[in-house]
Amino acid sequence: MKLPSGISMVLPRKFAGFIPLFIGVELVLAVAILNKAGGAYGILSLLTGHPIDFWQWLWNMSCIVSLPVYISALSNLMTRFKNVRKMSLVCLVYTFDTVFGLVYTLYFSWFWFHHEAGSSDQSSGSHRRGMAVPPGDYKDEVSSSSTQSQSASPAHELFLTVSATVVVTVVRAYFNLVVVSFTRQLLKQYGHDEVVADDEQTLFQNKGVVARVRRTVFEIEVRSRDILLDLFS
Amino acid sequence: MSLLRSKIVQKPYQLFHYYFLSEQAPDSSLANLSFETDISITINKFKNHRWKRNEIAHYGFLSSVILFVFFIFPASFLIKLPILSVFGLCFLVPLTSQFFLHALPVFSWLALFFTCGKIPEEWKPAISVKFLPAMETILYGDNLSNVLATITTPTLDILAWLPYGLVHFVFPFVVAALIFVFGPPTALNSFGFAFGYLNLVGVLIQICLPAAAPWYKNLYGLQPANYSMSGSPGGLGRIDDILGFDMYTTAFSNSPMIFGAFPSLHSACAIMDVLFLSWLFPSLTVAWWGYGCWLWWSTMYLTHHYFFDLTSGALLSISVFTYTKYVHLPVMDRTKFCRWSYTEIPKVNINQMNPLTFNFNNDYVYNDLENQQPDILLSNPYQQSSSSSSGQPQSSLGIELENYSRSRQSSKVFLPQASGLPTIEDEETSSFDNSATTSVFDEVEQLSTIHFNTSLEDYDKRKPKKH
Repeated sequence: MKLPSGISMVLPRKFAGFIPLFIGVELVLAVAILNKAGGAYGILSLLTGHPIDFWQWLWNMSCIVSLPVYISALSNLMTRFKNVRKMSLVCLVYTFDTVFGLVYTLYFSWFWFHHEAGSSDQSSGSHRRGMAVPPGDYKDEVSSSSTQSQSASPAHELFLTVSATVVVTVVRAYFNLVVVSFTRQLLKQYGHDEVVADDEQTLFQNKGVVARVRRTVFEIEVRSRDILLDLFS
Repeated sequence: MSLLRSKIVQKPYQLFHYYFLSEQAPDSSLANLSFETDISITINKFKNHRWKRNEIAHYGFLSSVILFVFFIFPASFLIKLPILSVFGLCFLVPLTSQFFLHALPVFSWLALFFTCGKIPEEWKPAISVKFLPAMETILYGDNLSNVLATITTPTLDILAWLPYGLVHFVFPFVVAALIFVFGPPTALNSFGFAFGYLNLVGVLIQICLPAAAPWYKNLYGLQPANYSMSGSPGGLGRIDDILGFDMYTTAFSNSPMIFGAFPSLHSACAIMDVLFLSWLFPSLTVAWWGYGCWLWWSTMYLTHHYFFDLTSGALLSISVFTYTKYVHLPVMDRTKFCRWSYTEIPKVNINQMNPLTFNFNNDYVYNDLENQQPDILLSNPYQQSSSSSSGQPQSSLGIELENYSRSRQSSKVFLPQASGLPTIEDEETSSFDNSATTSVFDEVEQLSTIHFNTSLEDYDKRKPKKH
């Protein structure tokens, strides 16, 4: 299977129009890592007892799984041999993640507007959620009509939320194109080079669980490279 | 004078000389500070300086922030003018200007932060109470702050308080000191630039987009907010209960920025510290990021920020750091022990680093330095003699520690006797050697006095065109 030749028309050659692509990829991966760290904090609900549904649990798990992929690629971005196959895996994972994330954004938007936003309007969060708030913290203040204009109107809040969600989604799609473009150029130049780095010569000799995991990851990365070489050829 | 020659002063100086100053090559004054106090030097530099567009934008922007604060601050001009004059004087005296000039973004941020509460309410935008919890749920699937604050215990309170309420305020000073001592000369300037702009931009966003923190939702739900409301210490209120005195409740209740949850500057500052520390001591990168994760957890546990605030603050940090790294920050030489070991200040070569164009190097910094090694050794007899005497192979990982010990050993030979140590007074008069200021004025080509024919300028003139 091959990608249509027109795809190269939409792939950026510079990040944001003037920054070298590799700096853009550094930023994209760093942002991805920051975002995926949310999964690790979310899964702590298992310890704190905060209720989450199956879809939230699945989302958190997907974040935790993709986190090491991005960390590994960022830390090896400048490392010869490794960066080609690691970026190949990132390219596939990030693209899948973009689509998966878009679906989840839609689901979570529905979740917010149907559950959270409406229910929180009426009662104090500390009472509703049984939060441990010190007695001195709670105040029964309600804004007076003279100061209510200082608070954003519901329409303003809605505009902020929707526009920010759209901007984040568009930026994420652009980031995806940056990753694809960089990986494509990397594969063009070094796609058929050696895949094993100098410090990985012992990868296939060592035994044990860690070595097996590393070999499996290595094989997935090489397979990703082969898939992308086929797609970009 | 007798105090300067006393053991209390001489002993620390000897130790400092033994560990750090002895690293300095005899012909290099790159790392030295200026002890000049003659303001005419700065005025002459100012007159001869050729302003670039980015400098005009930089100083124009920061000056307008300072002026805004000057006019907005509710005090008599008779009080404000003398304060501003003293502040301005610090930029004229070379001794102080070498720090103040590069710390100007930090001063601008602090001035704006502590004055923003005085901005007339009618000028301020409407407060958003739903935006942050909505974004957190839409992007991350849940209110992570509530997830983490569901269970609170005194042990967890203390664990959260340490990074959020203590370390956060001390760490930037520690990082700055470490960068000054162990980083290359001019690296501290970059930290001041990055840290200052990060916070300044963050405060400007907080002013333009006021938003309520998780503690607000816990106290008031999503009811409309107003600027007359008091702030809340959130989970830090429990620390006051544990400690038995009011450490945070009053301070947070009267905070100048009650609705400044977005972006989280706690997160931004911590990540900036982490990025600089990872750059300075890469072998401890995991530990630095561990601190970042700890602080993130504490901000959410204490109900001070949503996760969306944390990622936004961190994104701001990464953007500013990336810009600083590729534009301002010198390359860290892993073979050097401290700032006094440097004989040149190489800058990042983006083309050489680019994986799409470069001659592949596994570690671009190290390889770049490897290529420079003959030059470095020729210009640094301390290292040359020690390297030849050690007889050990220079591995990429071992070279750092080996060089530390070698250079220290050799420096012992050059350690001056206590009686021969220069006093502070001697250093002040020795202006030629101690005039390595790195201010914006350093690019002046023609200088009126020999005192500011600085070592950095000398370096600029004689450095080979490598890139």
